[in-house]
Amino acid sequence: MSMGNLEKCEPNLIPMLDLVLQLIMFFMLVTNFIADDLNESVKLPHALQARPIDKNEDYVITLNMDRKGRVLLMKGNEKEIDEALEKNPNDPRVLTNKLQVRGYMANKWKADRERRDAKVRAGQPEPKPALVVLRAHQDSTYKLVNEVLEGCRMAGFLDVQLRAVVGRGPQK
Amino acid sequence: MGRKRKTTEIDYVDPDLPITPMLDMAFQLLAFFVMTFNPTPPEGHLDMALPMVEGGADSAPPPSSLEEPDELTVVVDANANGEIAKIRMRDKTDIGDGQDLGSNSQALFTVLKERKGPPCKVKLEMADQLSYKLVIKLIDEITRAGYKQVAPSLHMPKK
Repeated sequence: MSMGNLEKCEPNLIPMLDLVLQLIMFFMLVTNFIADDLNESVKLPHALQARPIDKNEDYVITLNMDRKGRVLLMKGNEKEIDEALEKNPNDPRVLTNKLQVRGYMANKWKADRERRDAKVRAGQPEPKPALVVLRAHQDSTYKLVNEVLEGCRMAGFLDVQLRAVVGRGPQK
Repeated sequence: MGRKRKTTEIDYVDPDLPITPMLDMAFQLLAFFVMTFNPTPPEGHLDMALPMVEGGADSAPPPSSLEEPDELTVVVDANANGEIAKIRMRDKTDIGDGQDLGSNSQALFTVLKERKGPPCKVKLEMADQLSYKLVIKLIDEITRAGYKQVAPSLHMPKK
């Protein structure tokens, strides 16, 4: 009885490996690991004229404001924020009014002042004050946004940017 | 005398690189990146000029853009739902409420676009209950019309 020709049959894995490595490269490039400042529960409004973010800014302070006007210094959705405030109404991770925002930003102003002074002492030109980036929820009102802006302004920050998603947004 | 050539046999070695473990590892990495991939929409920013606080923030440097007088004021009233009720525009020569532009932000863009003279600073006075989405839309329209300096502020209706 003949056994036939027993040849070793191996799939060619090298093109597959090439493809997988290319996919890994793609995901590595597009994955953003440094997103600590961004709170994903904050839905930004859309603006066509929103300009790309300048990555050369020395010092950026990002404030995330939810639809109720609370400045979030913690991650989490609205429910988690509510629960945190229920447990501790004075939770330092959530700024609920203008005075708290002002206090927080005043500390930031002090730190920024020290940073700029240190640069001057080191013989470098004085850098401009920190940039405040406000990421406010699209369903909030101008009154709530204005309170946060007032808090920043009273602390001394006048250079403020409003963050928006670039584009037209969903049409009604 | 015939010379016998000594032939040397070269021993060709077939390199056997184990691809399978490498592929396994590559798949694991790929799975990690696929699972952690979170595409975020591209964000941009809208600049604005904050006015100085009266009697406060002495340490704050005055931005040069705010030293100029306001040339154009856009007042936006809102209804109870946070929608635009009325837009009025006046420049520093206007006496009274200024030009009524209705409730469409597109009209504001058209009027600003057709306005003669170089773009100046626009003071945007908005009612407190106006939806933030519409605030951004208004700033967007003003910027689109070529006016880069927008100073938003709260509109205090006359009683």
